[in-house]
Amino acid sequence: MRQRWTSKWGVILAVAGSAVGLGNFLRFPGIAASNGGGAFMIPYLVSFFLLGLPLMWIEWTIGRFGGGFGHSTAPGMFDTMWQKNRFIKYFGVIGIFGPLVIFAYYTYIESWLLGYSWFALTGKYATCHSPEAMTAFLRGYQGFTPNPYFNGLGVAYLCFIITFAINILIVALGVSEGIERFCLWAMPLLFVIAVALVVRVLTLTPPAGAPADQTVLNGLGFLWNPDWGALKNPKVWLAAAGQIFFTLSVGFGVILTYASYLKPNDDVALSGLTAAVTNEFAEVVLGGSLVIPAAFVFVGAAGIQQITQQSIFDIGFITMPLVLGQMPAGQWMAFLWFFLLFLAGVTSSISLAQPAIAFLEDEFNLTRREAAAIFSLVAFLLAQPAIFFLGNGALDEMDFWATTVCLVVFGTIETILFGWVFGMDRAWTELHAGSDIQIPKMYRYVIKYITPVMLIAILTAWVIQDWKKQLFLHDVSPANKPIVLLTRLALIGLFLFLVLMVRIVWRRRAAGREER
Amino acid sequence: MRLDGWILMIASWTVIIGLLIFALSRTLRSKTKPNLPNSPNSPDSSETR
Repeated sequence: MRQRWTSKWGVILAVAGSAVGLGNFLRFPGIAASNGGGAFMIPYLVSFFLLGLPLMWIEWTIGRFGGGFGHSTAPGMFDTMWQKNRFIKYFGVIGIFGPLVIFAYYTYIESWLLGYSWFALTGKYATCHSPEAMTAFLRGYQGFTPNPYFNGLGVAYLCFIITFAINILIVALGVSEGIERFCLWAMPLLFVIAVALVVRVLTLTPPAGAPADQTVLNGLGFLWNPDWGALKNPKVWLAAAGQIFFTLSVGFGVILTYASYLKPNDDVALSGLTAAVTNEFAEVVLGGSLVIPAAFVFVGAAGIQQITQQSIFDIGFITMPLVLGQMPAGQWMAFLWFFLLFLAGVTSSISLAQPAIAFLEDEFNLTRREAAAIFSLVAFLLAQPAIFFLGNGALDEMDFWATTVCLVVFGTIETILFGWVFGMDRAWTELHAGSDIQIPKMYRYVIKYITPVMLIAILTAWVIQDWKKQLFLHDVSPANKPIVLLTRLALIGLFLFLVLMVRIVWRRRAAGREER
Repeated sequence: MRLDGWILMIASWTVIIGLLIFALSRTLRSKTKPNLPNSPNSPDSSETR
């Protein structure tokens, strides 16, 4: 019996939960502020309508279509859409490999948020009053340098085990009993916490002794005042398209899997739109009103310039605890901040687990619990390099292949498959089957021509900018090269293993057909 | 915050919140459908299989 979502809100919140993650609250404000401020919103919204939304509809439609044939993952779906091509199913492996690899290291980062939620409540880092002290605290937690707070990786590893177990428990319970039930309370709670934090930030007053212009309004101005000249810079347009691509969770293969549990006449057009704009609300309205205005009030214009150049981890784990700690009831504010990010992380990571588990269930006829057990074993082993060789570039290597490469390649393949191979007439009919809204006809042309061109442009730009440097490890120190290369070998091995599994399944299926 | 900053913020928020209200209201209004015949591309459509 195929699993199904039990409510429309369940699947919408699950997809929105998959999209709303750390990037909404940490990555977006920094990228917007350093790419033209308010002017960034023009390429950002253009990318949303021409790239993000079409990809969302493509994935929902392919997912529901594939689910009708009993497939929950990309190999089966792609094979069904292009039956004449024997190789397309192997490209679908990217839609299982990518999420599995991301899950392995993402749960580790997610576990830091659980740990920091606890530290915020108990005041463990309360004596850290400078960025240097917070950095030392974080490095101690990550097991780099023993300090008065941590004597190794023990606490971080315990938090990882707890976070990992929570994720596996939710996915092992199944689509409706686990994922849907969790997202139905976690997503509203996430929004309540985010709104509470935004209200607190927008009512902040400058601390005693701070310059009078360190106000929340000027903080919003730092993010929104436009630099119109930025619009002439192609890198700004590329940054906007990249942010839209990452934030909506498209190109992972997870929306395909989630949508496969819909019934054939369930709406996908309105649900895809609802999930996408829910994510945009979390990112632009809530995410844009938290980090930058809050930090501006406490560090001013000079300090905030540095913050926008920081990595999202430094903003999240070093700057924000310091900023929130200066507010009244700062301990609770910091707890809410980390717990908000933890919830956003869990709703994303459970979606990353689903494609691999669904593949084992569908194609090898395993029970949900058996599939979850095998998945947890593989993901747990895969997480170990990210934990123990974090400082040696193992996590960065996994992140590059799983997100930068897999996402854009997979997104490009599915868009071409949908608009050109499946055919726009069939695709349009399938998209509107059971639909609660009529999508403007111009999207026929957007999906067929503009979205693939934008994806190919992103892919080409990233190839030119990053591939040579990443492929030949230009930025990796000689001492770390063996570890990074071993990680790469393990990833290649995993990918080939998945390709082999797909081959075995299809050969077995073909043999079964011949016998009949 | 400058005037053009205000305009961009309010315009962006209006687009996103407007779309969100539209999408949520339509989702709330839509009824659960009975199991209708499958879509034209579904497995038991002889046209595609």
